[in-house]
Amino acid sequence: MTIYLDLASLTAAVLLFGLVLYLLQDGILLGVALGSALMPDAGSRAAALASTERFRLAGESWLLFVTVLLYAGFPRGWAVLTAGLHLPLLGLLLALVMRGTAWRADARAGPGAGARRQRRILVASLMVSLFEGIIAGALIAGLPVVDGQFAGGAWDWFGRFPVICGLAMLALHALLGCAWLCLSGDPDIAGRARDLLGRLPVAVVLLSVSLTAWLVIGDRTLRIAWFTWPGVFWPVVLLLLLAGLAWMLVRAAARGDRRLPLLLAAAMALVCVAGPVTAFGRWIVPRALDLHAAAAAPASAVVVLVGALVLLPLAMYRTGRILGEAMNASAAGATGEAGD
Amino acid sequence: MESGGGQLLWLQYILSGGLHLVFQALAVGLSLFLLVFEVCWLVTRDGAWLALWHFWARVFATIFGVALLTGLLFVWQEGLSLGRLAAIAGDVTAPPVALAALTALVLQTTVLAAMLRGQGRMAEAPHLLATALVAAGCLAVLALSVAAVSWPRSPVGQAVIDSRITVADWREILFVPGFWPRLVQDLAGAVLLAGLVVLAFAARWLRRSEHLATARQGLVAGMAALVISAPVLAGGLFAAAGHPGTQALAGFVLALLLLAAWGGACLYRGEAFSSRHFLAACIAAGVLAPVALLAGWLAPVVARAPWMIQDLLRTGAATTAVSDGSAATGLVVFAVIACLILSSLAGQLGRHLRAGPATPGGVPRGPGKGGSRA
Repeated sequence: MTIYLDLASLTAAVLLFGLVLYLLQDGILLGVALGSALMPDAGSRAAALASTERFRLAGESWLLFVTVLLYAGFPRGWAVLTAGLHLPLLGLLLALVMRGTAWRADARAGPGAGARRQRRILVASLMVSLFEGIIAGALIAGLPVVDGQFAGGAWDWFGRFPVICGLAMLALHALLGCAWLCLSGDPDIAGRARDLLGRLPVAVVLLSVSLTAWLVIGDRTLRIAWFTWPGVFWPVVLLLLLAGLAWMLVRAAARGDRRLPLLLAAAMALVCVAGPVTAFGRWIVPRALDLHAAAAAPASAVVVLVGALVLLPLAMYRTGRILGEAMNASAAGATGEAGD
Repeated sequence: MESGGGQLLWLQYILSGGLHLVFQALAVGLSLFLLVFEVCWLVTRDGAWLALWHFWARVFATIFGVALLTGLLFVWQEGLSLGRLAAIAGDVTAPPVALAALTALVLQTTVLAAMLRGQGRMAEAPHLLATALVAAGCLAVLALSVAAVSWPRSPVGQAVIDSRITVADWREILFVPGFWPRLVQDLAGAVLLAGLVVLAFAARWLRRSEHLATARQGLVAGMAALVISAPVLAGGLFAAAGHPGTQALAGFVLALLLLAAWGGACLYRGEAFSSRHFLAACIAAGVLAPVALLAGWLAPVVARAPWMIQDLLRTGAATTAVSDGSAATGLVVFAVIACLILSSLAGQLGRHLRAGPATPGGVPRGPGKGGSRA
């Protein structure tokens, strides 16, 4: 029994790790697509998009990693999620494929093809961000589960809380994307990204504060857990941390710092993940289906876990290398441009 | 009785499975072709083989990416369509699928980049090793997929506890009776599909009198794949003659054997590279091959029909419990997704085709004597 518990927790930890890596990496990719739309001219829009070309496929790979771990590690949780979030998951899949095919479109196919491609990438990225936020929000808001099976309707996921979570996800992705664009060697791109970083961190903090308040007001269990000893300060600590990071980010962007914004934006994203994870970490479906009830039998979980642990260091090494190369390429753009 | 919604979900499942299967088979087949092209280049030092390698490596990279994407879709679609299958039998059905995906990801993160970018930059022996490892990894993914689809057809090695189907013996589950013949069949199918695509491209170049030296080698390689794999497939189909729906596939394989004979006759008369009718037939075979492969996937799934897992779980009890409206929405979304993927792929393949293979001798970054180290 002990082994059973440990396996489920370990699988969940690996799953969470993959999810965070996915969020950071695809967050940058999606955010750059959003941020590129706000660039002053067509040339810098194209250059901003191109700066993420190198790790475009890595996002999809981490999503596949998370997906199979969820499916094989927590098959009963998977069954509830796919039933309860059927429509938003379909929307997310459609948006992901739309984004993938938009990226693969030929920018030089004819007059206006480049602009069309950028528009398609922007619309698809907006959809991906919104649906990811809505799915996270619907999970946090809770799905009705009876006897381990989803017992709600097709539109239960659609509410004000999930939609605002969607907007928060959009803001977070845009934050990551703009922080990435600060690296750019092109002064137009980096300057515009720094302008945006004067406001985006504030938006993320405000949305986080309101979502936390909303959650605390609506959830009696959380209220008791958080506002009786020893949990008193936890959400306040996280939000203060978030606000502190946001303040540093705004200042770093105003100073014209190149690398620091990306680090701070990633730290903000981690704090945003830490909130719901510390509140609902022991659940697959918050308040309804816990990790261990949803977990696969040990003989199955161990197979997948071993596979995942073989892949993890290889994939992290490769992700690190690709990100490093892309960062250097961005920076090299600076010296190249400056030399002209 | 099954609801209409349940049947729509089942339809999405088999269609997304079919979509993924075609690209997976093509990736497996092309990875073997790349290995063969590289060995031929190293043995003969004929630049046409290297040009073929470069051209098909570009196509392989595209197909591998699409196969990863359709794989991701298929895993999600399996959940969205067959949610209760996961809840009841996920212990058995999920790990092979997960391992196939993880293997593909390991491949992508390790040797794939070395193979695609290393030709001419790495020393020859390590590059050949990378190409061989890519092919081996693709075969492993294929084997795991075959295991995943074989168990529900003839389930053994499982235990039923509290109305949940769980693992009793992994070895029995992975190697159910019929696993090895099916693996051989699917491998032959993959080689045949890739062979026909290689053949069709070569035939198109020959019909337009482009890239002649490269196209001739491609035609020969494609015909060789056809000659090797079609009899294997024909034998397997003969053994499974009871299955309804396999007739279409059997007809196609028979037509391919005739095509192979025609090609042999053309070669004998020395007009294989110039007979326009023969080349047109080669192109037609390449276009029809994915359809035939789909038929080969659909036939046994449909034949199993009320059963999702033979004699253990009915399809009606395996589909996700969602409204008919959601199920219908899902089918529409899936149709849009499939159209997006196929049209995007057509655009990319069109670009590869227009770019064509580099002319032998003028291959970019062809390795010098002994190759140079990166």
